[in-house]
Amino acid sequence: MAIEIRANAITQIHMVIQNKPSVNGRAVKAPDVKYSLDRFAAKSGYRARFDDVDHVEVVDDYTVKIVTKYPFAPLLVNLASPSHNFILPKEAEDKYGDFNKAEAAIGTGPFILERYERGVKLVFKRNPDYYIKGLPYVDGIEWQITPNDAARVALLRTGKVDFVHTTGLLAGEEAIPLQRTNPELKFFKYQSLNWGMFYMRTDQPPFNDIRVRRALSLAINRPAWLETLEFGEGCLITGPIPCALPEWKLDVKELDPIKAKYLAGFDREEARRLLAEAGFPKGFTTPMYHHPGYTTPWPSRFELAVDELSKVGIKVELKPQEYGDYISTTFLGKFEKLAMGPITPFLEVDDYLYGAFSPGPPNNRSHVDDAELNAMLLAQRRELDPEKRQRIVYDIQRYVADKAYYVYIPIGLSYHVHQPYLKGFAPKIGHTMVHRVIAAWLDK
Amino acid sequence: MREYLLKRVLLIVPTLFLVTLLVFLLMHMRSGDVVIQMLEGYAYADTVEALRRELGLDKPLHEQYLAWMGGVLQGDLGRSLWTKEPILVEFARRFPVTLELTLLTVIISVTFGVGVGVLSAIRQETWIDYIGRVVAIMALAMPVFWLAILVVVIPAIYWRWTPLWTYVTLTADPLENLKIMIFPALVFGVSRAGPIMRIMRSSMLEVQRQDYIRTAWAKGLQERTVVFKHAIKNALIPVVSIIGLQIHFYLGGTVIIESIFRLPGMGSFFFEALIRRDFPVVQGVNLIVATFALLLNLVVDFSYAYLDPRIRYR
Repeated sequence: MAIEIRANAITQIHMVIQNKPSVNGRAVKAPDVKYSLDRFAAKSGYRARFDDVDHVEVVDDYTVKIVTKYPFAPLLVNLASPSHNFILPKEAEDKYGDFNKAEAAIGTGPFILERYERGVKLVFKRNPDYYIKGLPYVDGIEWQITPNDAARVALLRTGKVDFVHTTGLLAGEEAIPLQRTNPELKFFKYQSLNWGMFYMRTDQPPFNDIRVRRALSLAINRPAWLETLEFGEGCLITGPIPCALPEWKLDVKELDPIKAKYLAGFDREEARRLLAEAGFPKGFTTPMYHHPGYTTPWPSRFELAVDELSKVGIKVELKPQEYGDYISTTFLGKFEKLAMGPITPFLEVDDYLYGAFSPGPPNNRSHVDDAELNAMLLAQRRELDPEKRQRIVYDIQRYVADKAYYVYIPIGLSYHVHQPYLKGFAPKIGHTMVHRVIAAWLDK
Repeated sequence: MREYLLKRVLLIVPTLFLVTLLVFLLMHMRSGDVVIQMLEGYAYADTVEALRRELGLDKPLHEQYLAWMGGVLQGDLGRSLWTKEPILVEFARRFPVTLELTLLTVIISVTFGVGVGVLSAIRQETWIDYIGRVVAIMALAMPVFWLAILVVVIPAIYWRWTPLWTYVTLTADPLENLKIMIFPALVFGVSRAGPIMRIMRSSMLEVQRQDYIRTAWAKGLQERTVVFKHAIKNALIPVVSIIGLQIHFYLGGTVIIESIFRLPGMGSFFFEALIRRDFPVVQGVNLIVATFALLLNLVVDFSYAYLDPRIRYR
């Protein structure tokens, strides 16, 4: 459904429901929005995004007012993020207990979940009452559950599916060979928000020593990584802000070269010297926690990390964790010494900064607690003027460039691949599937 | 004979008890917290403590175990922590898929393994034997996941065809179901046939050198009669042992095969539960699979008695 968001005061935002959408045979009204936002603030794993929200008020049937404790710049993007701020019908939670059952998937979107065959497929049909008249074009979508990567690509090769992957993406390692064997398919490549890094316990030895962290960063030959694992295309320096957010990312060339070296440089000699200065002339051994089941080319990245770090004397003992273990420990910052992996991509720059560097949020996997940085992180949150906020964001990037709190690795391009007869398929950064297929049709 | 069978049946009870205890303890010893996963990712409750209390995970381990066992003894395996659905409901939906795949795999692996093993033995040191031995070694050496991916990917690249379809149940459309199941069963069956081929060949070679077989040849019997009437039955005894020992491979291997061939069986159900730390599901599935494996082993034990008269008369 469409919601117009108006920031008409420093600490107040008005949300106006447009087009009078319906759900469950009734109109969606302001109390639904208040219920959904209150629920998000109380229960969501991302509820820290609403920390500065004081309360939500219903103004009239179609308007709600959000009052914040302070000016809170990220709120507009957070409210617009469909991954985290769904407007939900309260009666579904009352009936089903939560929104985790298929039957509770009730909304105002272009498709309605008709059938869920567990482990087989999800069948969606067109929502005839969708608020944008005439859309979607297709009568429905059958979402085939295919857990294996190779099987997914095989289905695409043989024309048994129109497009693949939960988010419509393939890695270069899958897409480029596919392009050679199936040139008839349509390929669209772009820089995704994906983000990958080494994260470490900066509050514990040896990574509380900045020289050790810098040595780790200098040991990584990023251009070679990009060439070897990503077919030479992609984002060389993925942090602290990914290349897919160019309006916020400060180009490495604009950094002080002495500092930039510790963000993007490659110098094994200096890495060894820094380790010796830090008391490790012969290097040291560290565990590295990770989840080997991440999709390609993550397994290769873990292996390459072991090889690269060994060349400066950091002997890495790989500590593979299966997903359930990893996601409830390492992913939340509960690990010893060193870990590596992707981080959930976000649309709001605050998540890459406040989320990753301020003490408290689980995304601060490196356990960073830097008073000077904390003040800057808070300042960008409170600055509502986009240009002024951008300057603070740039300052933060200048400040953290040589701290090596995280060591970022190159991330390649992502590919949308679909059959040639699928028209109107729209590549989109973000998580949701529906916006990619809302205007799609089959020309066959 | 009766005493032999009774002993085998009675042994099932303590074995199952140990399985439940071990699985319960191992699941709770593993790191990774279901409550954190449910809370952080899916907003199941307001606080960790509230959710832990709601799921009964705040109680001492022995209380949790006894409560679960109490349910099991009354035929209630519990409910999934995530979906809140009774485990038996999901089990009833998924087990037929795994059972069908396992049975087809056993049929294929035994037919293929025994056939090639016998042929290799009766044509020892000929080109037939050499091919049979190479096939057996290849089947032993090739990991099943690799073979499965080759079967899915290679024809897709060269012939624009792949043996992947959307699953339909046996009752809904038997022919379509067989078309879907036959390729995973073939891949898995051929892979598991390797050890059967090897054992069958060596067992047949040993039997062929026995006095009674020599006597059979001396009586002027035809090869078919000597092999099928006199040799195979005795040569099958070690093969049956191998099949019994392999039963957990048949059941466990379905996790990978089901994932690659998109089959909604127990494998994916179990694997997902393991990742999500859905204790009741893991415990329940393990108990059912262990019971099934023990029953199949019991069938194997019974077949010993059929194949080997010494056991019957002991």
